[in-house]
Amino acid sequence: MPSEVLEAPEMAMCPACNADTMVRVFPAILNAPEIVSPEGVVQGEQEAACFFHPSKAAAIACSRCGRFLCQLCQVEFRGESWCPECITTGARKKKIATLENCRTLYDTIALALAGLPIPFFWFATFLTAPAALFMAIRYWRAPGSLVRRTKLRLIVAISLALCEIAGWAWFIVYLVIAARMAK
Amino acid sequence: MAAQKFKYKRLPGIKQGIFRSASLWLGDDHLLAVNNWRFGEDYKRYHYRDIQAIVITKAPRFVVPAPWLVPVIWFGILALILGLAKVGMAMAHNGRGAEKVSLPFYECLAMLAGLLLYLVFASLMRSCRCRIQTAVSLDELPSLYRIAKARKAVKILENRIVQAQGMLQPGWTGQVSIPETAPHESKPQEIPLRIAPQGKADPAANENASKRNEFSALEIAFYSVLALGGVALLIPAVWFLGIASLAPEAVLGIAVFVQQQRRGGPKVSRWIPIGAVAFVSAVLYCSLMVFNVQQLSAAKMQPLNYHWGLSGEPVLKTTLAAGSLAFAAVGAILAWRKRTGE
Repeated sequence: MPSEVLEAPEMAMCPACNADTMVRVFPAILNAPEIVSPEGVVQGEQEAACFFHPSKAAAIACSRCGRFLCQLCQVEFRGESWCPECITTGARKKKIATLENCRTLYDTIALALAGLPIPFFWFATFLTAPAALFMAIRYWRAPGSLVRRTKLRLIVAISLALCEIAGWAWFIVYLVIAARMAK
Repeated sequence: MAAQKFKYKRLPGIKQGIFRSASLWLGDDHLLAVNNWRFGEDYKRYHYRDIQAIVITKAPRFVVPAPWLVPVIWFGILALILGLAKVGMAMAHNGRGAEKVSLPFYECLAMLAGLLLYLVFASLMRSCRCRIQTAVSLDELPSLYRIAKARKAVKILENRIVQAQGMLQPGWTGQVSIPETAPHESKPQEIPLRIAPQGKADPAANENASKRNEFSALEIAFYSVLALGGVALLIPAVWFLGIASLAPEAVLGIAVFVQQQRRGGPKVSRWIPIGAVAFVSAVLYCSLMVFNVQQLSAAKMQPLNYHWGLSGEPVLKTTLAAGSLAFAAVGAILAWRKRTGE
């Protein structure tokens, strides 16, 4: 891209693709890639070695577990130095929200189970209503969406499921009473 | 939970599909791209300090937002019901009573056409691709597909990034070395952000520039059909050929518009076909509406096929012919100017 397009305050035509283009460039583009310097080899028994690479000299300790790390193993995270294992464990156990890259929305599943069958397969609510109720209660404390924080869907799902269960209960009682009356 | 510490604020722009949606959220120190598939969400984070560039490129995007489907389906079903009622009445009672449903039927059709035209217009003229570049990735932001929203979102985002990184000095392009390759790209067919040396012409740009000044075969076909249709409308024996040519005119007009849009041709080349199609559609629609209003007020009984014709409307036929010929003449002048390079 020519510099005129990169520095243009508004949309400018890119000569390569003939499309109007607006570019916003930030100082990070000028940063040279960080090069990890080769680690020193452990000289004697007195020198601390990296937990993961015993032949290499330790440069820093993990802020979380305290293991010694060489420069290669050190991961900068939240302004601290972490070891790769702490990062992996945190991501796997979903203890660090900033490492999560997906979440299951149990509230939406519960709401779909309670609400979707009503217009199409209302008779299926005999099974889906208890399932929705179970899911809403079971996952009440489970983390929902990272960006949407209310429990409204779970509350609506529980209310709908309870109404459906009550409706079925009334229907069954009505059938039993009607059968007895017929006798 | 650690997650409770973070609060996100939604950026303008959301891509709302039936089964998927995408949105952008501002965090304390990062931008969060959320891809929602109804029963789950995928996240991608871009820390403000790592963002190198944001690029908005004007491009056609045929995205139909899910909320738009509601009026489209509503008017579509209404038009279908009224159309079937119209045909049913015509067949059962030899056209008697069909005029009563004609007006709402054409109104539904007009609403549908209006919605679809706006969607086509927004998709072609007001759409863009927005990409974000870091040192290790070049990703598209799917939620920013309309230019206005993308500008608004980028403006907000820019402030956060400037707070984290500061601003580039004017003339910074002179300080940087030119990278040979771009970082990893999610879509290999897209053009990476690269800084070209000044004064060096791109061969692709020259090719596009030469095409821009050509009068394409599609344009020739469009203006020829327009002219022939206009002439046919003026000849009583073959006027129906003029009516029949309206459908190919509409298709060719939109095709010419898209072609010129891609080539970055002059504005007049882009807008004349759309203007011609809009004019022809408006005249045709007016003729149908006027005729049906007359029918409704006089409560006349006419056979169904009469409603579709313009045989009783010489003024409208002449208007249609004159308009078509005028647009074709403008096209001919345009071709001549392109050839002579004026």
